[in-house]
Amino acid sequence: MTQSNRLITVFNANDPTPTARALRNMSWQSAVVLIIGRKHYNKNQVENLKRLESWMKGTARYHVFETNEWPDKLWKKEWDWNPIRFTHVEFLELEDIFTSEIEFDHDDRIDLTSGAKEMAGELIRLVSMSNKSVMFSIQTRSGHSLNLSTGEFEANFDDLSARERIWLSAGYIIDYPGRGSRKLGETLKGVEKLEWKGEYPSGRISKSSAVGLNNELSKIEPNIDKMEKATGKKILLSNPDELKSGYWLEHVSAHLLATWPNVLQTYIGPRLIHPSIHDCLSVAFSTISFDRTAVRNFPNDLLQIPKSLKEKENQRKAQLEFIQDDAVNQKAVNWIARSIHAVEFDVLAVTNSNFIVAECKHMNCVDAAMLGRNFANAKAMFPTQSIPILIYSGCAAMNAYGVDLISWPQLSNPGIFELIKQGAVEEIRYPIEFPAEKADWKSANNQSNVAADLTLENKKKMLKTLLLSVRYSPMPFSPHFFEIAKNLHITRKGPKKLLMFIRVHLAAELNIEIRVNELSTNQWLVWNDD
Amino acid sequence: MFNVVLAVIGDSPGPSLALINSDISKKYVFFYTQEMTENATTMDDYLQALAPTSKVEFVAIPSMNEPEKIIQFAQKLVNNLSDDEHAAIFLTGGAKQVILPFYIHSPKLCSISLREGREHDSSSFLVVRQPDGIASQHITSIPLEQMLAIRGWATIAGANSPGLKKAGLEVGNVSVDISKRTGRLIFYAEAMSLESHGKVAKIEKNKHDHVLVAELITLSESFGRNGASYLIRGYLTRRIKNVKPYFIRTEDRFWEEE
Repeated sequence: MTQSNRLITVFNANDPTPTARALRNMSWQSAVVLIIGRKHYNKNQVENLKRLESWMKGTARYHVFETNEWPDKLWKKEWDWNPIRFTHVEFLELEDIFTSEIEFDHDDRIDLTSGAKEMAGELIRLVSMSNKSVMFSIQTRSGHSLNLSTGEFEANFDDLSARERIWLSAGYIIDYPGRGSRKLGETLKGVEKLEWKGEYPSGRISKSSAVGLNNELSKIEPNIDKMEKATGKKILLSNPDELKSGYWLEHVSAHLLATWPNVLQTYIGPRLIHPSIHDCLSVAFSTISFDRTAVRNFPNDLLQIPKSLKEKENQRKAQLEFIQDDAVNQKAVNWIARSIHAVEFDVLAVTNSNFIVAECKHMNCVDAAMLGRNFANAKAMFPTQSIPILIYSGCAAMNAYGVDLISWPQLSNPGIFELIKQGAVEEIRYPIEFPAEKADWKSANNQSNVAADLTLENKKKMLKTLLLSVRYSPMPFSPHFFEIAKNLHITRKGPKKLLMFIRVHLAAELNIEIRVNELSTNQWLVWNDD
Repeated sequence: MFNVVLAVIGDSPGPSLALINSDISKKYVFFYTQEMTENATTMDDYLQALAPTSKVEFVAIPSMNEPEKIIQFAQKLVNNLSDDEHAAIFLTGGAKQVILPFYIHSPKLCSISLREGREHDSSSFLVVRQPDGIASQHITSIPLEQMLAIRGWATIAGANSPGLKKAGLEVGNVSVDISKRTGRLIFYAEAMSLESHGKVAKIEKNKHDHVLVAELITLSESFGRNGASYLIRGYLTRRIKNVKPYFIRTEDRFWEEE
C-alpha cells in the first residue's frame, strides 16, 4: 500500500488492540488518534488509554512508575517490543464525533477498525462533505490490511506480536519457559497411543460427578519409546515420573496446537506478570516465605507479616531496595524471578483473533469445578477474546459448562471446536492395556500431593500467613489467591473447600468475613477490625 | 419514506427487525455473506410465513474471507443507486468490512442507525442522517415474539411463562422478557429453592440448577452471549456459581449491571 502522509484512527476504549493494530500496520508520517467522549470513560477505559501509550513507547516497564523501578536483573529484554514513532502521534479529544470539525487532507488514510459503526459512518460522511480524496481501511481478523475503497488486500508482515496483544488486551507481560513446535506436533500426530485401563476415576472424583469418564476408566498415553524415536527428542520424558505427573501433556498439547493453521504461537507454562514491580515483589515474597529452601536467601524482615500499613509500606521499600542492590546474591534473584507472576497457565495458543487458554489434566475424567475454574481464569485475563479448553487423557470431546473438554489426541484435528459445536464427537478408543505393567495410578495421581502431608496446624499457620500478607497487598480470591494457595500446596481441593476451611478455622481468629459475590475483586476479604 | 434501504444481516436479529418494523421504506434489501446463510434462511422463512408478499429481498454476497469481492460487489451495486435520492444504507447490522464499503462508495445516500432504548426512554428508534448531517428520529419496535421467531424459537406458554422451543429442541425452565431499559431480550430461570440443608436436597438442587445453566447456554448459541441477557434468579450454590459462564448472571449482580 502507498505511503500516506497522515493516518487518522479512533481510540477503541474497551480494548486498545484494534487502534494499535492500525498504528502498527499502516504507513504514515504522522498519526491522529481520536479520543471520543473521554470525560465519560470509566476506570478501565482510562487504563486502556494509558496502556496504549505504554505500548507506543515499546515497553511496559515504565507503565506504573515513570522512574526506572524495574532492575535490569529482573526485566528481560525480550519483554519489550518495537516502539512506534510516538512523538508523531497526536491524541485529539472530541466530545462527540457528530459535532466535530475535523479537517481532512488529500491522501489522508482513515482506519475504521476501531469505534462503533455509526462513528465510522459519520467519518465517511464528513470526508464526503470535505471533497477530499482519502483512503479508508480496516484491519481484518485474518491479519490483513484491507483498503475499503479499492478492495486491495495485503498481509501484515509486521503485525502485533502475541506479547503485544496480551499486553494490550489483558495488561500483563507474558513470560514463558517454552514454545510449541509445529514440526514436533506434526510428528506427534502419528505417534502410537496406548489406552490404559484404570481402577478409579482420577483425582478421587466420584463417578456421579465425573465428566468425560468412560466405562473402562481408561487414560490415553503416548508410547514413550516410539515418541522419542519419532521426534528424536526426549520431550521432557527423560524422567519416567513426568509421565505419571502429567507434565508431558502440556508439551504434547502445545506442539499439537502449534500445527493448527490459525494458531500463530503456542506457549508452554506461560506466566502473566503485572507491570508494577511492587505488586510483583509482594506476590514473590509471599510465595518465597512458604518455601523452606528459598527463605535462607533472604533477610527475615523482608518476609515477616507487617502489623500495620506503615510497616507494610516500609517493607515494600526495603524489598525493592533489596532487589535493586547490586550486591544481592544470584540465588535470591532467581527465586524472585521465578515467583513474580500473578497467574500461570498450562498452555496458551494465540490465534489471529483469540487466545486459546488450555488447562491440562492427565486424568481419565474431570469435574465441574475444574471446568468452571478454567473458564473463570481465562475470562478474568482475556474477557472478550479467550477460548477456555480443558485437555485431558480421557477419551471424549464435548462442551461441558461452557468449556470444551478435549481428549489430547483429538488436538490433531484443527476443526475439533466445530465438531464439538455440531454435536457429540465420538470417543476415541485404542486397544486396552492393563495396569499391571504400569506404576500404581493412585500414587501417580498423588505423588506431588504435599497438601496431604500437611498437618491441620501447619495448614492453618500457612494460610493465616498468606491471608495476613493479602491484607496489605489485596488481590482477588479468584484466580490469584487460590492459585498461590495451590502452588504452595496449602490446598489440593477446589476453591469452595478452601473458602470453607478459612471460614471454619480462621475467620473467627482473624476477625474476617468473606464476601462470596466479590471473589473476583480485591474486596472479597473484609477485616472487621479495619 | 425511502424507496429502498440496503442492509446486511449480522449475528443479532434485533437490528434487522427494528428496521423492517419502522416502515421507513417501501423495500428492504438484505445482503448476507456465506457465513450468515442460516440466519438469512430463518429470517426469510419467518417473514414469508408472516406476509408472503414481503417487501424484503435477500441477496447472497461473497464470503467474509473474500473481502475484495464484497467491495467490488458493493461498488457495482451502489453505482446504480447513487442518483436515487430515496435510498438509504442501514449501518447497524453486519460486520464493518461488509457494510461500510456500501456507504464508502455512495456517501451521498442517507445513513440509518439503530439506537436501543435506555433508562429514560425505553423505545428503540432509528436515526436517519442526511448527507448534510441533519438527523431525524423514527420510533420503531421489536416485539418479543418476533425476536424469538427470527432465530426459529417460540414460547410454549407465552411470555413470562417457562418454556421455549425450536425445531427438535426444548428448554423447559427458561422464561423470556424484554428489558425495559435496554430493549434487549432477557432469558431468565428460577433456581430451585433449598427446602432443607440435607445432602440429598442439595444434590437435587445442584442437578436442577445445572440444567438451567445448560438451557441458557443453548439459548446463547442462537442469540449470542452479548445479544441478550441471561439470568438465574434465586440462591445458587457455590458449585453452580463456579461453573456457570460469565454471561449468565445472578440476580444480586444483574440489576447493577443491567
